[in-house]
Amino acid sequence: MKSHKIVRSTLTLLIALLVLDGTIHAQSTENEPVAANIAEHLALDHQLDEIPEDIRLQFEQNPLQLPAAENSQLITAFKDAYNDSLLLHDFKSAFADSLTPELSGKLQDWLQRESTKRITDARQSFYTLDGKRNRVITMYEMEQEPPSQDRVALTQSLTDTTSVVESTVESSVIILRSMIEAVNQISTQRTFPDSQIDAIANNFRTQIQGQISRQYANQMLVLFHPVDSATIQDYIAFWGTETGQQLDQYISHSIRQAYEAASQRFMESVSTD
Amino acid sequence: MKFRLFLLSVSLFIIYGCSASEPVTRSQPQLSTPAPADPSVDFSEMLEPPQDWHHLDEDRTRFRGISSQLAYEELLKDRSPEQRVIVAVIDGGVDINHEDLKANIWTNEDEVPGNGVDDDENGYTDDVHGWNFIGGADGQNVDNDTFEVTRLYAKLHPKYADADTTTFTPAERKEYALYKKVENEYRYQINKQLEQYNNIRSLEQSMERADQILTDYFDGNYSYEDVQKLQPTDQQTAFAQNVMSYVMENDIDSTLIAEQKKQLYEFMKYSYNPDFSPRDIVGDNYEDPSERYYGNSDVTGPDASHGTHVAGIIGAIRNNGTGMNGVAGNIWIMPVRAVPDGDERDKDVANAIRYAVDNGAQVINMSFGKSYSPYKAEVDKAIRYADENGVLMVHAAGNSSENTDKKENYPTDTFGDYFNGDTSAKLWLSVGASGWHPDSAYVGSFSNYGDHHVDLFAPGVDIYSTIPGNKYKRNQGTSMAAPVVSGTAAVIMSYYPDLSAAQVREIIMQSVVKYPEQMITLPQSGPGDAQMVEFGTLSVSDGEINLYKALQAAEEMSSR
Repeated sequence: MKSHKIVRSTLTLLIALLVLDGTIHAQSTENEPVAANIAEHLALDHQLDEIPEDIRLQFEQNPLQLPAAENSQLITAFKDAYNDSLLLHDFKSAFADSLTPELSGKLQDWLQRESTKRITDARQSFYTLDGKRNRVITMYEMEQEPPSQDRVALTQSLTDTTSVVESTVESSVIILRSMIEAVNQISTQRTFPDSQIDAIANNFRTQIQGQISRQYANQMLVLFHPVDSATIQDYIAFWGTETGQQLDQYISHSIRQAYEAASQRFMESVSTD
Repeated sequence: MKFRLFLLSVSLFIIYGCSASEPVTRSQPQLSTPAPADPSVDFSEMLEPPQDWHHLDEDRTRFRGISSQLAYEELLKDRSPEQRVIVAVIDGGVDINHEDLKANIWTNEDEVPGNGVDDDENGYTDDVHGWNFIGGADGQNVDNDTFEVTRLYAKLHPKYADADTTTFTPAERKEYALYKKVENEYRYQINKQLEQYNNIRSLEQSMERADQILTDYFDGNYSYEDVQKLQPTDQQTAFAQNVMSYVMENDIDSTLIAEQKKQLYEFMKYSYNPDFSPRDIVGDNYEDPSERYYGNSDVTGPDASHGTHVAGIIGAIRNNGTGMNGVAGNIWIMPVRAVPDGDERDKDVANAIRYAVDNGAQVINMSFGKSYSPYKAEVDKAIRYADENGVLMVHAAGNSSENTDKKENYPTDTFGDYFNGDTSAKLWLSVGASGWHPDSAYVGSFSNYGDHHVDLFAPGVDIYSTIPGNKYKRNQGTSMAAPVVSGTAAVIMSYYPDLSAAQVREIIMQSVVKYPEQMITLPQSGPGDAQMVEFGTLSVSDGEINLYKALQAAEEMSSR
């Protein structure tokens, strides 16, 4: 009867695993609306596209001086792989997988607060057509009449409170690396050994670190221009809480997951071409 | 919008060129003495041409000017003009007190200045030197205005943004198609202006950093040659060399950057702002496009820079030892203000044309244009009116590097539908901009062109002319090319008063200088490989205006 016990215990374990797996997927499915809500309210759907777009624009100018056809192939494959719908889908999936019911509930409550709504309205508006128009107006007017040091310090502390800079740097490195590796696949004239790719990536990381920190701080000055300082302080305080730190961690993780998935798609595309 | 050339959006790797601007106070004219063609003129090394290059003769100087200097020296030296020609300048305003224009500004002799009475009963009170259709009776003026695409977006977006297209009537379907086109362009422009602003800020930061690096490296000042000779041994110096080489080669300085940023700011704050509407200042019933009598007599307005430059090209006082020479000597400039910093409105354009015709203009210069014309029918009526009254209309083709046979540019000589209209004005000339490089860069990279819609080319690159405050500046654009043609027409009319406007037009078209072997880099508005085309495929006449040859042709026609 020994074998019968082993089979039954194995079966029990398998069933337990199946149930557990099913629970996780059920939670993931339940969490997707929360993930979508977070992505929308924090305008992450727009932000996901920003880094790939920057890198695409630079490589569109063919800085490696590839033959036109090769560069065109590279850019087309990049655009397909880093498509914003796919990025958002992968982000939401990864984020949903991270959420627990308890955290979901806390985040929903946080989003409903009036002060949070003032922040999320500003974030969403930033990416609308009118928001883009107003960005130029705000940037120019801020150059003519710079904001107070207190205001600058406030938005700087927002930059320092989250991992957004580090996340952006690492995301940029992931995307750049994928571009260089793709060049290796496509180009008949240019090849980069792994050691050189590592060196380029590290050099790039060093170069952009300070730049991204400054850019983010400036962007926050513009984005939160219509928001009062008290609301921003409240927002900063949230990110210092356990809930805020978890949210920050899961957002960074999910963004990286989305870019890594895109990078994978990109490499698969150029490898089969 | 006035066809002023704007410049530069800089990414890390791609650079657009820009115009040099050098405001100068009270300068003596720098005239080139005609000499036998100098084979040693090296255009490849030349950063800018002589200030009067557009007057020069190619056979003598190698500059592809309109040979006006030679015409005055040889053909007209023993002749006196027989009539003083009135040239209307429909634009943003003219500085009528400019030292090099004042004596040539038209005066309405039938109007008693400042008495508040419409003495000549032409419908406009105290229109002593012209009229301003974008001002209020209280003296206030429109300065900035929206672009037509913004006005259409503001009107159509609320109606169609969330509309159920399945229930549309045929009229709604047609209007919806217009809405989608407008919406696409509005969205494109907003994104583009934002990108340009970011790029300019990025360039500015790079310039500051590069300058600091090189100042430290050279322990003080440095020249372009110093930068070129650098052999960088580190990334920082290499970066600084790249940036400053570009900056110095393109004459970019902090003033230029500041101007560009301000322009983009004003575009976003006013011209692309669907909630901005300065029309209340005018106080007309804007919904009545047939309304004629509104405005005020301030023909200078808040920003006369563009109109003054245009006016100077046509008729800055010749040979007075000051400033520069206009193309035409014996003329009156009639300023008609109708073009804001933004897009002109069809109603104002129509009324400006009518005003010019009714008050004696023989040539109308129109250095403005736009891509939409919602009240085209009114403008068509006015153009017909000018046509029927024998007034020659000269229009700048536009600065979008586009083929106007395929992309609308208004106003146009074609009545009705831009592409399908079957009648057109007879007395119309559309002008593209040529430059001083006698090579593939001969046509201005910004210039519109069109084998059917652009009639000819005229110098429009690095043109030195008057700006408000007794100053002078180089500018470029088809805005500068059109007045070269207007001035040429005026010269012909003043020496051959018996020729009709139609004959003058024919003379101008038939006497162009052609370059059948000349291949041109086709102007293009976006990225992509450059195309080379024959210069002759870019306009109806296949050539560039030439006053000397036009006068010879005029003489011949008069003798028949």
